[in-house]
Amino acid sequence: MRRTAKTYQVITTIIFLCLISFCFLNAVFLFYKVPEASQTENRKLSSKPVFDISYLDPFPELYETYFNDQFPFREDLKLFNSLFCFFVFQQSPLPGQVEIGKNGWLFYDQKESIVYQGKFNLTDRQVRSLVNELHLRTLEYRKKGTRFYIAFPPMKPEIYPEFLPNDFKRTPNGTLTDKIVQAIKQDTVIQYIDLKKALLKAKTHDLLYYLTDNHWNEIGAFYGYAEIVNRIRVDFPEIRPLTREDVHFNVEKYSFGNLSNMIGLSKYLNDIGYYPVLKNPKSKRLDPVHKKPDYAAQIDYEVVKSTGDTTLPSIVIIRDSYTDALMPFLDESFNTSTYIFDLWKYGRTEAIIDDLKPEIVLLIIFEPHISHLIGL
Amino acid sequence: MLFHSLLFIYYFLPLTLFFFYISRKRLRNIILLIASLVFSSWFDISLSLVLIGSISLNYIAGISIERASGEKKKKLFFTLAIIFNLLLLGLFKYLSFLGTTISDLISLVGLDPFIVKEFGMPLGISFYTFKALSYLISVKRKEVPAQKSYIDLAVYIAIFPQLAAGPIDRYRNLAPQLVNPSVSFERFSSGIKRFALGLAKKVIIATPLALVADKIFNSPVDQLTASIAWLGAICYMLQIYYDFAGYSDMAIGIGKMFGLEFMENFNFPYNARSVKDFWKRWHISLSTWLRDYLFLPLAYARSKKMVKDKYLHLKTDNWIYLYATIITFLLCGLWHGAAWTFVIWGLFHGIMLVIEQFGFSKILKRSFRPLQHMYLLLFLVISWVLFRSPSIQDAIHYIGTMFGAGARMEDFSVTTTYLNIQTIFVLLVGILGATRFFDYLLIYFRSLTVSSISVIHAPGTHLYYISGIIFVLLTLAMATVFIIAGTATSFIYFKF
Repeated sequence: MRRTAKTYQVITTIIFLCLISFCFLNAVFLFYKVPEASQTENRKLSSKPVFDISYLDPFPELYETYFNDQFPFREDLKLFNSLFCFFVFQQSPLPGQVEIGKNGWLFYDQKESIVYQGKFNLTDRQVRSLVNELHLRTLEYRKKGTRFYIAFPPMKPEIYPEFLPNDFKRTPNGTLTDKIVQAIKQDTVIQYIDLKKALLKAKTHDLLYYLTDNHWNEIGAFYGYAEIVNRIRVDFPEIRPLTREDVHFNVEKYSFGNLSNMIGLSKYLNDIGYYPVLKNPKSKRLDPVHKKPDYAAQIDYEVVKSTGDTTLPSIVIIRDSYTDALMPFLDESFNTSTYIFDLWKYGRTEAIIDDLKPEIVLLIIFEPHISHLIGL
Repeated sequence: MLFHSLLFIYYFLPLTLFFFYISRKRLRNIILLIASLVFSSWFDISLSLVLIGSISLNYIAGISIERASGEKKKKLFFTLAIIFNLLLLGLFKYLSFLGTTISDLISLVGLDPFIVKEFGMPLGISFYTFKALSYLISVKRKEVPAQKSYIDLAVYIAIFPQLAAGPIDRYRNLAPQLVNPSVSFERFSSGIKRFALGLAKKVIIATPLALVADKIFNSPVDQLTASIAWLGAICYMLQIYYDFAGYSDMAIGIGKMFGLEFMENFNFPYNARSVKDFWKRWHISLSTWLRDYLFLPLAYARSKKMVKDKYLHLKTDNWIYLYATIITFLLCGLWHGAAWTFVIWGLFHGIMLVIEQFGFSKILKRSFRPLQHMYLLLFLVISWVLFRSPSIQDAIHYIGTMFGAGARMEDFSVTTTYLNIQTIFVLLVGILGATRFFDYLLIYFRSLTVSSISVIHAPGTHLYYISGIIFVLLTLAMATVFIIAGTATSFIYFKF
C-alpha cells in the first residue's frame, strides 16, 4: 500500500512539474509556434519589453502582457472557453464587456450599459457646461459664415430595448442624453438633429443595427443620413438627398461584428450585412491636405471626398465610427466632404475649418461619448 | 503576479522550484528570498523597498532586544520597534483615511477641506507587519532567540506564498522549518493537490460568483428587487470565503512544495453556530494573532486595574471581556481596510460576541440546531454587505432593500437573468462545499477502496489515486482556460 501511494506521489509530482514547465518545454522543443497576430482579437501580439534598469516600473506589467500573449495554444483555449460559455452556459465569455441579449443580439456592456442604466450621468452643472460649449461653437462658426449642426446616433439599446437581457433596464430618471437633448432644445441657437425618433419609426419595417456589433448597419445609417440631410436642406435647398431608389443594398452574411469578434465567435454567430451600391456614384476620394496631429499618427485622421459639383455646399464632419456607414451617402450630397476623426475628442478643429472655410460643420457623436465634449 | 496568473503558474513557480531543488540546502533560503523579492516588486518596484526596510529594521530590533542589558532597555527597544512597525502600516494604509476624516470634520465647522496625498500600499503590508510583530513579541517574551541570520528572518517575513494575504504564520512555527525544510514526494504531491484545490476554489467558484455579486452591488440600489439584493449578498458571502480560502489553500500548497507546513486558515467557517465559533474557524491565523497579542494582553492589563468583583451589577470578568473584545474587533475591522465600513463591520462582530457572552450563547445552545446555523448565516450575510459596500449609507440602503425597504417591485424574470446555469451550478457547489459535504463524500469514496487498499495493486487503490491526478489535471486545465479568457479576478484580501 505504501509503495503504491509513493508511486502515485511520484507520478503526480512528475505530471505537475511537466505541466507547469510547459512554456519552457515549448521554448526548447518548439512544438507550438506562437503566431505574430491574434486572429480572433484582430491585433498584433505584444512583443518582449526591453529590460531597462533605469526605468523598471512599467516592466512587470509589460512582461506579463507579453507572456500571456505568447502562451502556447492561447487562441485555441480562448476559443474553447468562448464556445463553452456561449453555447453551453449561454453566457457571455467576456462578462462586463459583451452582454448576450435575446434572439442572438449582442450588446456592448461598457459605457453604453452604464449610460443606459443611469450609472453614469451628468450633473445639472455639467449639462449646462456642455450645452454652453455647443452654443459657443455655433456662434463661433456662424461668425465665420459656417452653419453648425449636431447629431447623436443613438446606441443600440435605445432602438432595440426589447432584445436586451432582462436585467439591463433603462434608468427611470433619464439618461445623460435625455438631459442634454432637453437642455439643447431650450437653446435657440444650437441646430440639433434628432435621429432617435426617425430610427424608432424605421425599425418597424427595417433592421437598423447589426446583431453582433454595437453599430448601426448601412440601412440604419441611411435613415440617419436622410434625417441629417433633410434638416440641412432647410438651410441649403440646393442639396439633393439620395432616396432609397438611388441605393441598392446587397444582402450578405456579416462576420465582422466587433462584439462577436471580442468574444472570438465571429465565425460562429450569424448576422446580416447590407452593402450599399449606389446607382450613380459621383464622389471620389482625395488625398488629405492637413498635417496629422501626433496622437493621430496611426489612424485615418482626415478623409476627403469630392463630387466636384460646385453648386453644392462643402462640409466638414467631426466624426467617430458611427459615421463610417454614413459616408457613402453623405459623400454624394456635398461638393467636398472632409471627415475628421480625432480619437473621440470631438474638438473644434479650428485650423482645418479656417483653412477650408466650409459652409457646413457637422458634429456626429455616438451617444455615450457626448460627455467627451466637457472632457468626461 | 497573482497565484492564478499564467506568469506565476507557468514561469515563476517552476523556475523557483527548479533553483530551489538544485541548490545546496544552505542556499535554498537565498533562492526563496530572491523569489519573494521578485514577487513583491512585481506589484510595485518602488513600494517593495518598504518591505526591505521593514525586514532590516526588525532584524536589528530583534537582536537589540535580545542583547539589551536590563529590562528597561529591552522594553525601550521593543517599544520603538513596535512604534516603527505601526507607523509604517499607518503611513501607507491609514494616512489617507485619517486625513480624509479630519478634512471632513473640519469642513463641518466651515474650514476649507484638504486633500491628503496617497503613497500607494505595498503588497501585503498588513500581513508582513503582523508577522514582524509576532517575531518581536516572541523575542521579547524570550519564547525564541533573536534571528541572527538576516536571510532567514527576511524569508520568514517576506516568503512569497504568504506575502500577499497570509496565513500570518507565527515565527516560532515557521523559523525551525526554514532552517531545515522537510522535502519529500509525499509532501510535494499533497502540496500539488492543495494548490489545485485552492485554484479550483478561486477560479471555478469565487470568480463566477464575483461576477454576479459585482454586477448586483454595482447596480443603483433603487433598481434592485429584494430577491436580487439577497442573491448578491449570498453570492458575495460565498465569494469572499472561496476567494480567501482558495488563496490560503494555494499558499499552503506552495509551502508544502518547498517543504514547509503553514498554519491552517479556515475550518468550514459557515458551519459555525455562533459568532464566537465563526471566529475560531475564519481567518484563523489572524484571529489567533489578535487573541494572543491583543485581546489577552488587553484583558490582562484591565484585570489588574479592576479589583472589585462587580461594577454596576455586572461581573468584572464581563466588563473585561466587553472592553477587550470591542477594542480587538474595532482594530480587526480597521486592519481589514481604512474605511468606516470596516470599522463598523468589526464593531458589529464585537458587539455580537459580547451579546453572546452575556447570555445569548446559552439560549442559542439550547435552541434547535438548524436555528443556530440560521442565526449565524443571517448575521454573516448582513455583516458581509457592510464589508462589501463602498459606504455605510450604501450598506444601509442595500440591507434595507434586502428586507423590502425601498426595493423595486419584484420581477422574477430579472432575477432569473442572474441565475443562469453556471451561477446555479456554482452556487450549489459553493453551498455544499461550505459544509462538510465534499469532505464526507471523499471519505466515503476512500472507504469504498479501503478493503482493496491493503492489497497491493488492487483496482480500487489505483482508482483513488488516479482520480487525484485527474483532479489536478482538470483544475489546472480549467484554470488556464479561464485565466486566458480573462475572467479571473484579483483576490479580495490582496487589498488588505
